[in-house]
Amino acid sequence: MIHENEVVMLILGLGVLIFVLGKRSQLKRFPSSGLLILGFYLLLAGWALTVLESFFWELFLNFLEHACYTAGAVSVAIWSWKVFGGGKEAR
Amino acid sequence: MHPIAVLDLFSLLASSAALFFLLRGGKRFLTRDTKLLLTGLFSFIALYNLCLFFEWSGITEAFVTVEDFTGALVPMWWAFVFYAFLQETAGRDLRESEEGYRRLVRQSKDATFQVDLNGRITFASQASRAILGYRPEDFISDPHLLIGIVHPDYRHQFEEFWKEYHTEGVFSERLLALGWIHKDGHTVYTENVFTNLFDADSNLIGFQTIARDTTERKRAEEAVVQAKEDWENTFDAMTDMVMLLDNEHHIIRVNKAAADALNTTKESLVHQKCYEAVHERSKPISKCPLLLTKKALEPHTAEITEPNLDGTFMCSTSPILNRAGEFTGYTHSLKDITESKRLEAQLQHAQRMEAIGTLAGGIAHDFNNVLMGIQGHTSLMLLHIDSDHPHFGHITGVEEMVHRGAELTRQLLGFARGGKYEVKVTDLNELVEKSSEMFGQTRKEITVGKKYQQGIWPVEVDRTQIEQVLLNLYVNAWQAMPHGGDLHVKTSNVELDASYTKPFGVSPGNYVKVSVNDTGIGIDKATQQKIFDPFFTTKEMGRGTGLGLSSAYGIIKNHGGIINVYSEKDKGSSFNLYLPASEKEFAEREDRLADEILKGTETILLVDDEDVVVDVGEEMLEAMGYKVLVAGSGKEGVDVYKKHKEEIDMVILDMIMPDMGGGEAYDKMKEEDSDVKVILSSGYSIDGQATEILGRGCNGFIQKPFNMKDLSGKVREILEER
Repeated sequence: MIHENEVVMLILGLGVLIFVLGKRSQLKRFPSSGLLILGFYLLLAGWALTVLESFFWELFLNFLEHACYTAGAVSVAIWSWKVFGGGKEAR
Repeated sequence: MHPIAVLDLFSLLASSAALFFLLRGGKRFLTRDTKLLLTGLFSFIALYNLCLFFEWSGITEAFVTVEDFTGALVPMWWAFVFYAFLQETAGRDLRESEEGYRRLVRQSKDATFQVDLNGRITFASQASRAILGYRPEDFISDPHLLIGIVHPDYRHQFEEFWKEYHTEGVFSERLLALGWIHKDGHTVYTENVFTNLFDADSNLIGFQTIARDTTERKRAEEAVVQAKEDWENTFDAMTDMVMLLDNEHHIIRVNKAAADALNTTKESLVHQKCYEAVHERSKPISKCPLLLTKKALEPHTAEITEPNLDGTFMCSTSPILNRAGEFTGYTHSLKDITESKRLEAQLQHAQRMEAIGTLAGGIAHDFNNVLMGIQGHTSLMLLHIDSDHPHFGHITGVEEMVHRGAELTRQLLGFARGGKYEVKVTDLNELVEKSSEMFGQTRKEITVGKKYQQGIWPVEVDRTQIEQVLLNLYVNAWQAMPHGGDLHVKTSNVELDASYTKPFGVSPGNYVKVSVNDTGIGIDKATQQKIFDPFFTTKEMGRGTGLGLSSAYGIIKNHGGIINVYSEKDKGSSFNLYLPASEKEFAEREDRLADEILKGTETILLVDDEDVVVDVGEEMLEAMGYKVLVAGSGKEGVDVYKKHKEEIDMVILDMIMPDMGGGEAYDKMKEEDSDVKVILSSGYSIDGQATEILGRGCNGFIQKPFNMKDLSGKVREILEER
């Protein structure tokens, strides 16, 4: 069964994707931005999967959705660790 | 636990870790807003994961609403974060750009000034202090400072720009070279680029000028200009004709002396070939050293005579090589040596005359002693025989020959500059009149014209010698006019400057000039060169001795004068004598000519190293009634004088003797008796020696050979002096 909020999340996420793709070269100048953008892509993939699971392969896609969330969170964590020095004051 | 719940737990832990690293870390380049946005994003992700974990682990489904809410916020928050990233990057770019600009301005050696629309300086860089000596704040606090320190020579153009800026506002970018008065007073020079200043909305807010210090460059340029000017002045100041030529002999540069000598301008000579300009030829002259210089790449010098320039020149050429050592042209200089060649020839001539004069003087001296012996003996013989004696004619013939021989030696002595024997202050007009009158009477075919200077300056001369000179010139003129003609004699007072007298080795000053001009056949240039040489004659053998003009030359030189000749073939000749004027007054003429043998009874000491002179002299004096003491040398003469000084009334003293000369003997006798009367006798006197002894008080001079009448007259003249 499809949920409204999941569709909204996906639409918003796709809007942000367009923005990211448009400003990709500028965003790349930010430190280790690749990891952060990857995190965003994985979350976006999760939001897409949660919509798709309403139509087929519910269980598998649901698992995949959560796996994407986890990978996205890990990617963001690694970015945060790399940029902010793993909790140490950056010099 | 449900596998998805495990994944959600990992997601929760990872997002929490991300939040933890963000909160603990203090990355400086992030702005506060960006940090807040990131914190929000990570918090929402963590909260979303937490809600999922609660749901899938079965703990509670109470947070489904929260899950839906945060799920919708997360994508939007991503947008905020990315936007903040972009803003921050752009801001950092701007900051870096501004910092770069500030660093550029701060580190630049060029001074930057920014001026607002009211003419106030709003910015001055640190370099303004290094260039102008004033601190940036001095310019900002005093709006008139920048204009006030513009150098007066540049104020006009700066004020023009200022006026345009105030009236027009926007101006076209420009470069102005300006001068400024540095704070410590010296002048500095800058090149200034003036540009308009606009704000972000393209509104004009003032102008900016960047000033580059060009003082060193300006001074270097001025030094180059000065060096060029100095070089050109030096080049033009050279009296030699100097040219710089390319390797095809074209004149590249030429100095003023060359242009003046060629009667043209420097500009018109440039690009001409040197041999066309100087020699008016289509190829180099054969003696030109340029060809040798080009061949050997070494300096060469050659003496050339150039009719176009009417002179003789030392031509020097040197190769000009470029940095690579390649031959590119020549330096070519012409030094006028016409005058030095003339002086050199004159010196050689003078030296030759000197040498010949010494030889001639020596011969004359010995010859006069021989003649003295013959003259003495003939005089004594004539004393004892009557005119009807059979040998009378022979003896008088011998005396005549002695007289001619004596004339010959007199000419030789004149040339040999044997001294001025009887120097008296003389009126040359009187001397010229007497000699020309005598000459005119004997040569009726010659018309003598005379022109005398009124108030002629006195000269100190030996009258007999000058008369001899004049007669020699008249005779010379007569011989140049075999069919008669005009002889003009003229006297004048002249003042000669150093440039005229230097070649002749005499002092500048007042001279009396005597010109003897004839309308005869003239003398060619080659003959003029040798005309004063002894024994040089153009007459056939036996008609002339070749001593007349050389004797005149010697006598005039000995009087400190000048003799020269101007003549052209078939146009007559002009001989000019210049004798130094004297400050003294004219003296009365005191010639005393003995017509008969004058006798006396006094005691005379005769001193001579020639036995024959002593013998005949003793006999001649005794024949005149005198008591005679004799001595064969100067030393003996002094001894005899000391012994008999009370009885000796007069001494006849030979001038040149081997052990003690007449001059020294005279001095010693004068030490014994300051009133001693002495007649100096000589066949020759070296260069004014007789004059010097006469100047020391010696009473008179008699030239050997002398006869009874000459001797008796001179002896009585001295003995009767008071």
